[in-house]
This record gives sequence, structure tokens and C-alpha cells, in this order.
Amino acid sequence: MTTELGIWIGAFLTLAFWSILFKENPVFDFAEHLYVGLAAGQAIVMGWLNVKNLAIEPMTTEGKISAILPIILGLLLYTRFGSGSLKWLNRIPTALMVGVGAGLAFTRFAQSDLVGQVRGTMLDLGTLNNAIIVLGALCTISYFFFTSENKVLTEMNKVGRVIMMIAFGSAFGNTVMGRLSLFIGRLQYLLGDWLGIL
Amino acid sequence: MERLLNIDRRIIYVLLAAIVVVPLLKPMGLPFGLTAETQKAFNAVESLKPGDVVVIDFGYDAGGAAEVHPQAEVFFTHCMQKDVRVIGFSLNQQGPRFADKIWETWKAQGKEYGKDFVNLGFFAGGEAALASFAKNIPGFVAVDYYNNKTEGMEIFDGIQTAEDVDLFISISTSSILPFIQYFYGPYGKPVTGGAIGTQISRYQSYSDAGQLEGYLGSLRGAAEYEKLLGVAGTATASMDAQSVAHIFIAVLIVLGNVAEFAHKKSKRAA
Repeated sequence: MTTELGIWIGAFLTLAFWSILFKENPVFDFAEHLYVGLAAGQAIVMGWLNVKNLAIEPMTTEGKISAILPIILGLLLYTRFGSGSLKWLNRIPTALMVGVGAGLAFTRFAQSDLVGQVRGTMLDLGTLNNAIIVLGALCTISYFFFTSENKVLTEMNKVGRVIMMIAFGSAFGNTVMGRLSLFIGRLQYLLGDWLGIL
Repeated sequence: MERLLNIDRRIIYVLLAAIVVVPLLKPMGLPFGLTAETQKAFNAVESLKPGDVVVIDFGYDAGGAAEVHPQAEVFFTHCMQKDVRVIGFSLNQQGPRFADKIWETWKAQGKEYGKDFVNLGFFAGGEAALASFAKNIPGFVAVDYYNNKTEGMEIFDGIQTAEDVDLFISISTSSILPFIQYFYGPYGKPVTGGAIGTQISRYQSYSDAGQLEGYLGSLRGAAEYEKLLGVAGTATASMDAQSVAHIFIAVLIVLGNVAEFAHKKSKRAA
């Protein structure tokens, strides 16, 4: 068994979190609050380092005056916590973030997710796999046509529904695998790093 | 059947724990195959030449590390074995610590910081940060995770934009799609990565469309990569436990459904 304090703390917290599987208890509550507090503390430190490294230092050591702009915009975000006539100022950085985010996401989405994925279904139908991909995509899309009733569309809807069910089953299987991986990872930590019996 | 339907969930937890612990303590060496996606990801790194440049996002935290940290280890090991330069950063605040943990091993083996690897730390701003990073890689941050000045570091020789990078790897518990959107889409650069189990199905269509050079799915993907690399790491050691646990879950699903149908039938008969 290890004598390292860090590993003992890790083992204690792992068991504390698992104790919720038995029932609600104060040890679990303690571990949960500790985790939330630590994550918040980490976020504050990393946030501050970003402000320091990306704005304050370039401004003070390299003379990049333009770095003052993001600092001002960042500070304006806090005006929403105040009251009175300055509160509206937080809309400026918020609008900028929404605008930049939407603009970037839209153009990149159109290129990679729309054009790229449509291109990915333009396949040679000579192989069974390709035929399944093309027909599967068409039938699944047809499931989301809500405008008119049509016999062909209705039949395609049914196939699309089956294909989606298969996809959900696959996603569920992968989720089980992922959750078990997390569990096994923790067990390896407890049995190996902590108890030293692996 | 009624008893089976009302079984205390804690009994299932204990059984599952017992079933998983046994193969960890006494490995059985159950065989596991290779998926085409892992092979593609491996080939993407294998095709690199010494001196090439790889960018890795260590985009995960402690909550997801058990699934994806072994993936980061195998990708990093492969890159170091191929003598390629690795520029690391993270879109997750906890990620740089994991990159640091992996780097410690390679530092001890003689690799040089600033020449073979650099940890640029956490990038705030998500997708906007990626777009900006792609346009100015050496100048995106003035100091790295350890507070060293990035200017003049040997690792950045000949690198200006994403155009100069040979492979992008996103190991993320949130999404690896931004790498496709910001590095494959506009620059046509190969992208691969590692994902958690819940997201694997999502990436298959991107791999089929050629937008992703394969990907590693959960711990299983890391184990397959270890097999290709010829190393027996933590992921390989967990595969017996994973296989046995899957059989157990499958049996539970079948039993649960049988019990449910039998219960419904008996209710109808009554």
C-alpha cells in the first residue's frame, strides 16, 4: 500500500463518491462540495492567467496598447451586476461574443458539417455498405419531412425510424462501454496506485 | 420473475464490481480485434516523418480522464517515437496538467522541452481561439503553461499557420468536431483524435466522409492503439475487465426483458 498522501486523498475521494450508490450520506456531500469548490478555484486561476498572459503582459511588457480593448470589454460584462444607468453597457461585449461566435460557427458549420457531410453521402452505390449509407441517410431525412402525406414518404419514414433505432442502440452500447471504462480506470487506481496489488 | 424485476440495484453494483475486479487481479488475456478507425488513426501518425509537426488538444478533465488519458498517452508515445514535434494545448482548464503528466515521462527519457514539445496551456474562447491560433501559431500566446516565453522556441521553426502543421489530434471529452471545422475545413489538414464512449457514434460519419483520419473510441480505442504500438499499457490491462463487464450487462438486459415480458403476460392472464 502506498504512503503517498496525494494517492490516499484520491482513494478516499473515489470511495466517498461511490458511497452515493449505497445511499445519501455526509461523506458524499463533503466530496461533492469539495469537487465543485476545487473546480471553481481552478477556473478562477486559469481565467486570471489568461487575462494576464493574453492581455496584461503584452500591454505592459511589449507595449501592445490594443490589448486594452479586450480588458475593457471584459470589464463591461460586470456592469450587469450593478444597478442604474450603466447596466446596458454589458450588452456591447455580449453582442460582440454572440456575433463572433455565430459568424464563426455558421461559416465553419456550412463548410464541414453541411457540405462535407453531404459530399460524404455521394458514394458509388456498387457496394452494399455504400448503398446502406445513402439509403439510410435519405430515409432518416425523410422522417423529418412534416409537410405532406405521401405513400412513398410514409414507407421511407418507417425505414428511417428503424435506422435511427439502430443508431440509438449503438450509442447506448458505446455509452455503457464509456461508463465502464471510467469505472475500470478508478478501480485500477484503487487496486494499483493505492493498494499496490495490481 | 417479480423478484427479478424488484431486485435491489445495490446487488447489481456489488456483482458488477466483483466481476470487474477479478479479471483485473487475474488477467485472462481475452482477445480483442482492431477497428478500422483505430488503424486509420495509427496510420495517420505512422506516416509522419521526423521533424514533422503535430498539434494535440488535451481537452479533458479529471472526470473523463480514465477514458481518454490513455489515448493521449499512446498518441504522444507514438509521436515521440517518430521524432515529430508536438505542440500541446487544451480547450479544457484541467487539460494542461494531464499534458504535463505525460511530458514528465518523456522528459526523463531525454526529450527536450521547447524543441520536441511545448505545452501552451489552456486556451480560453473555444472556437474563436482555434480560429485565431490557426492563423498565428507561434504568436498566439506569449508565454507557455510554465510561464516560459514562447518567442524563439526551436519547436516553432518554420511554423506560422495551420498550413505548416502535418497533423491535428483532438483528444476531447466535449467534441473533436471543432478541429474538423477549423483545421480540416479551411486548411485541408488531416485531423484525428480520441473520444469518450458516449460520442463515438457521432464521429463515424465524419470518418466515413474522409474528414477525420479515424479516431480512438474510449479505453478500447487506446487498447487497440497500444496493440499496434506493441506496448502493453493501462488500456490493454483493462480489456479483460471491460469484456467481462459487457457480457454481464448484456445478460442483465436479456434477463430484464424476459422478466418484463413474463410479468406483462402473467398480468394479462390474471
